[in-house]
Amino acid sequence: MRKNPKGLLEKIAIYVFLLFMIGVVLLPIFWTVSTSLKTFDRTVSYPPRLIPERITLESYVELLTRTPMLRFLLNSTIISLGTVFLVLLVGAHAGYPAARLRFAGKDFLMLLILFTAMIPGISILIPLYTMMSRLGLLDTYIVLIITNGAQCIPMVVWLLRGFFQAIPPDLEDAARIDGCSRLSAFYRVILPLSGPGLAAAAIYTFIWSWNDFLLAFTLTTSDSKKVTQVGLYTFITGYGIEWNRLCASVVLGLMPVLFFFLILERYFVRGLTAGAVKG
Amino acid sequence: MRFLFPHNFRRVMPYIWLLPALFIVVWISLYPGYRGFIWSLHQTQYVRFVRFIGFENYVARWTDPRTIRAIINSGIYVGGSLAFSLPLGLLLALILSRPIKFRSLIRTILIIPWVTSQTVSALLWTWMLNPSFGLINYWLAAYTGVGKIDFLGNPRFAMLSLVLINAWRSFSFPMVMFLAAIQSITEEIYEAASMDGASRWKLFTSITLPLIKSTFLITLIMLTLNFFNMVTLIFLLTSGGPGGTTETLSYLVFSDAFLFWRLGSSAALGFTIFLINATFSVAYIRLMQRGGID
Repeated sequence: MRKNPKGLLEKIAIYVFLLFMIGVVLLPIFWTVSTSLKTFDRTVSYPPRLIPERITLESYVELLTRTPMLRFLLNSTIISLGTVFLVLLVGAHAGYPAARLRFAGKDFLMLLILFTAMIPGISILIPLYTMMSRLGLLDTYIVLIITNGAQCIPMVVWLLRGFFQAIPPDLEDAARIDGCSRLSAFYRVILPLSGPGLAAAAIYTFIWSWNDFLLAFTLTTSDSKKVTQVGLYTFITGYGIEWNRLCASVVLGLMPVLFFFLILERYFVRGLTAGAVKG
Repeated sequence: MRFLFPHNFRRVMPYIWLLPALFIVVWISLYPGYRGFIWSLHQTQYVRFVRFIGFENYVARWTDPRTIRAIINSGIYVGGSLAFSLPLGLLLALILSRPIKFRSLIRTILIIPWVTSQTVSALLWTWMLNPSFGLINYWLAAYTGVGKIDFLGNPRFAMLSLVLINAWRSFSFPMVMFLAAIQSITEEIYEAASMDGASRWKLFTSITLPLIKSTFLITLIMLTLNFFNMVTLIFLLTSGGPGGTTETLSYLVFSDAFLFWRLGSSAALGFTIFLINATFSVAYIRLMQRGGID
């Protein structure tokens, strides 16, 4: 390879830029983690130190033992998993006809489902609130599972449709020739082959649901049902200036979804890009 | 199931598959949207209708200078966020499409902001930008001549801070989309062109850009809708302040409803936003079609 001074300069510039971006991404997180491990007087000391002199877990201990934080995390987990279950179930069964079947009004119905994405989330909050109030569903797990689900279903149907379409029809046909009904072929042939698609839909839905604030804020009020995001919000006023405590709660709020993401990143990326890239 | 519709089960079947999804979507999204529209046509007192007033809410809102300013703020917010996140995403995608050391790891790290919730992002940056104890202000004070800046409380900096924080949160999405699109372009095209003597820049403008056009469109639409409808980040960072400099149209919908209980008015603004959403999407698609993709 010829030594190319211009190429070398470019390479260095690229790596410097990447390093800069990584710094920009990680610094706020690092700073918050660092603060969460400090005592209060160290938090407000000057000059602030990026790495704490002495590490203490007192914020975490207080958070986990004397606040509902653990409960908030549990609620988020229950609701997010519930939403994933609902959305995969409903979305897969909707994605299949979208991918394979022809029927009157198909385009219209597909557009209808996508079209709901245009409806601004904020403008349905109050009507949803009154409707759920009348149904007595406020402040329950189920109400959040359904409403989060409704927000994720359009994207998941779109996503799974793409994945189902990519499976060669011959496999299904072979099963059906052998006497399987469409439904049966769906469960025995299509679904098992759709692992990555289902995983992508699952992680998309889980992250969406875990990160949601507005729906949870509007539809749940009691501590026993509050989710992590709303819990963090209540800590802001509760903890005022005690940033070390607040940072600890942020770290706890971020870790689960970060952890999930790191494990399933491949599927997350696939989910984001599926259907958006031709070919 | 079969025995319910023995004669035309085959024809009815697709609708049965779709039914749960349609039901949920209609019940939770479409019907409340419709109810919201009805509310927008009434004068409201808390959660009750007082009387039907047709489009009075709309007229009142559209002629209100506060609304006009909110629309401008929305424009700045969306435009600014797109201006930062799209080119950044594209640049990073181009870089990451090359064989770089630790490419996978770098990509993973760069996606992290997109995975953080708006709440967490808001808190992370509120702390970073804290005027008294935050890291950024410490660096400003200690290493530059500039004094401490209350980024989120100073009317001159609040919107800029908001835009940058939003860009921080959002650039990973276009990065991932563009990366996938670029990686789907086969090597041969580039080889053929560069053998014909095309420069790197020419390769980029004549091959890469046109081929990722559809991805660009989809990303643009999704981000625009996302940013235009965003409330949580703004609510947690500045609550529309200081002095209304970060009050966007979507935030106005939120504050009218949740803080002032002006539900009819809020619904009118909400429906307006819906119309704007639809217009954006159609306009973008038309623009791109004229630009020459399928």
